[in-house]
Amino acid sequence: MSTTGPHPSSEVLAEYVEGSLTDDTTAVAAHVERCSDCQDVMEQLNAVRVALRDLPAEQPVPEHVSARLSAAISAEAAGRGESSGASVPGGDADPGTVAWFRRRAPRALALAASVAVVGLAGYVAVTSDDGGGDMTSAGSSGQAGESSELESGPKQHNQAQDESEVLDDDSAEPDSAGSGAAAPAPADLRSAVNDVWENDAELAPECGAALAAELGLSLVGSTDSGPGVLVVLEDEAAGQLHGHLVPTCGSTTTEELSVPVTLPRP
Amino acid sequence: MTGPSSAPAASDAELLRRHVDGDSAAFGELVGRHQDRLWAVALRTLGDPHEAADALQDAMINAFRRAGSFRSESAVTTWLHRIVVNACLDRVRHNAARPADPVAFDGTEVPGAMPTTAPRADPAEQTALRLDLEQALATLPDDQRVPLVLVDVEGYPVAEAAELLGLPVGTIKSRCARARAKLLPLLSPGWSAPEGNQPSGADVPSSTTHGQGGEHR
Repeated sequence: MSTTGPHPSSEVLAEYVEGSLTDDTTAVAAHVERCSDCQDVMEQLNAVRVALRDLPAEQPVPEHVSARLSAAISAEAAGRGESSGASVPGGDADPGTVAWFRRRAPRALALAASVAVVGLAGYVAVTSDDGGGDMTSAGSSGQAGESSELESGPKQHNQAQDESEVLDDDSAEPDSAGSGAAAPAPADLRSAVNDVWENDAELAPECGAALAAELGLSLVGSTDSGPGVLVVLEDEAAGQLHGHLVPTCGSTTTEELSVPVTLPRP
Repeated sequence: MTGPSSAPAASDAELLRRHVDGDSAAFGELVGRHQDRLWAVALRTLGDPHEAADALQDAMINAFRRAGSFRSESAVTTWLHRIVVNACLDRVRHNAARPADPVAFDGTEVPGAMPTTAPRADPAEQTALRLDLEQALATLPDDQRVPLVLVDVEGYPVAEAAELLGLPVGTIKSRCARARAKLLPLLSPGWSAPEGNQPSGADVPSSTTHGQGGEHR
């Protein structure tokens, strides 16, 4: 085989196949076209892709992981039963489980209470005047614990209480929402939209960008709101702000948690 | 909606609804049904069983609490899957800022992702390749493994993976490509690269214009 110059590295070939090569691709193309070795490599690269795609969708979860998961869920359920006073069959507190869970997994619980986690980020973002740009670490810091109580704003009240009561034993409060996931009232959402607009708040950089791209609107900001993330978008043409409540920063409209609110741009 | 209506097993959506209504057993049943799938996602994305176990637990507690906000337009499995992926990404970001934890996995010597070249009980080549692949995936650096798992294994469109990771599409493509190149030797163990086809880590004496394959964006 007659080729032009040395073979490109397999990484270059992989990028060439992927179309992500930004260097001069014509030289690679010219080489590859006449080099059966490199063509073989490219075939193998494709086979890697196929093999990855064909990996089994499931893997048996190790028993101790499964057990830990069950225990955490039971503890959650027990806590929910207590704090909501809902009629939960078999929901009697199992002090052993709860104690185990407290001992064993406070960090995981804190992290899992993503409301609490993003609550901290939201709190910092809202209260810092110009610090919107470097919130990345706060957004993923696991130290939040029950810091959602720090969150100001009436919409957070029930939520914060729920989060803290999950671990408290005898504080029955029949009215608090069991799952802690009730969506805020539209009026609260609108006022939260306004806050985001005024404070340039964002939970994390580019939080809500997916939603903005999907709807073709510009991203104003985001904040933690009750069960999810409130993404604020601006319809410049209409002079309106839209508030979308979604589960995560990367969510699109398919995951919306409530009907979006619209208000005139202040 | 899985299964015929006459079957005793409730659908995923039904279980989730029961959970929201206060049935304390429903969520556990739902998780039990899908945990093997979700474990696979977490384990491959994170490449580490400790981390995967933590992420899975975080995700399921999160899902437990947010179940009331689930909207039936998407499948419950898709929703759970996404929550697990996000929990994994949180961990990757978080861990980028701190050193790895050297503690043994639950005190046992059975890290699921790395069956240290265990004797292959199953003679089928496919199985061998699969184990090799799982193992090799775990050895990739986070910034290559995560996009590769999302795109090639889990089938996320590149654009969606880019959104999830907050990176440009070109970067995702580049990282996936380079990760595939690293996995290449698995498919042809006897394969010896023609000169110059080795991964660019080795100093290939190269005077070409197409270079060493540094990261392109």
